[in-house]
Amino acid sequence: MTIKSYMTGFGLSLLLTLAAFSLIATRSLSTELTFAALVALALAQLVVQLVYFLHLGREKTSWNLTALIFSVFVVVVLVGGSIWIMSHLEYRAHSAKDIIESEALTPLMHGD
Amino acid sequence: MKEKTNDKNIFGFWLYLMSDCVLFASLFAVFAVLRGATFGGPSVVDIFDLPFILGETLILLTSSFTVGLALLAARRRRKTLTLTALTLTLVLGLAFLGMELGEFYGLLIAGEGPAHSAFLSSFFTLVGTHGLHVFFGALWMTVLTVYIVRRGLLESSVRRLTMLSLFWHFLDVVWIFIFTFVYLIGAL
Repeated sequence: MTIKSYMTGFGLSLLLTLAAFSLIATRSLSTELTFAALVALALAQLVVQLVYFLHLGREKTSWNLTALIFSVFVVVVLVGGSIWIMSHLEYRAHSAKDIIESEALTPLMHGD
Repeated sequence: MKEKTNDKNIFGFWLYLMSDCVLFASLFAVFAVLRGATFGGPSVVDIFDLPFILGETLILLTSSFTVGLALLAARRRRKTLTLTALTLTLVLGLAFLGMELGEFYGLLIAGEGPAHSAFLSSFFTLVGTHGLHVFFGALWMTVLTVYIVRRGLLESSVRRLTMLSLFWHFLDVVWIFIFTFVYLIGAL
């Protein structure tokens, strides 16, 4: 825990932040590339702040790090799983909508 | 150093932060699912003001740096330096909160409050919960600063400042994901 650690962390975070914002401000990359770059920059800044501000990974055995890794696992399952399930449901609902609105079922919809 | 005996308290606080992490994860998950449900109203593109969000981000990042400096000063028992860094952190934190409240207010008076679409609900909840955490952090910081002014840098104050700095750093980490996934990627 030194002032150098905090300054390095601050400097790197600043660079990563400005890089991310400039990608959107200048639109210099394609949408897919920008998305990937933004995710990478966010994860990089996460690691920078964990190491330089929160001092993780400096000791050989760190219970803090262990707890973090477990929490990250929970987060990945929670967020990833939710997105996976909900987008699948949306796909199913969308497909159902297509079928209902197609010629096959339209006569039944008018309740004559 | 006496700090070793406080390790359990600080680890316990870290575990609390991990649970807070899961809370934010669930709010992020909801936002991810509902971000397209704009109900004819505004989407992220319509509410995103890049310089404004950049400003908020830089303010919060700097405050995360200054709280680190405060902790360093406290560990070296340099009271005036600690108080200066803490006050600076607090001012930056309040500036961030002011900006965020301004953003929310602008949306509310434009009729684009949290009740108007699923996207807006999830946006206000996620960003608002983060802001609420910053508010309580600022409150904690105010109380701790007054305590240090009146009682000096006791060992208990250094322990509490350690936990507060962990809390504050954590909030900046969450903000990384908010500005990336809510604002920047929303504007893609």
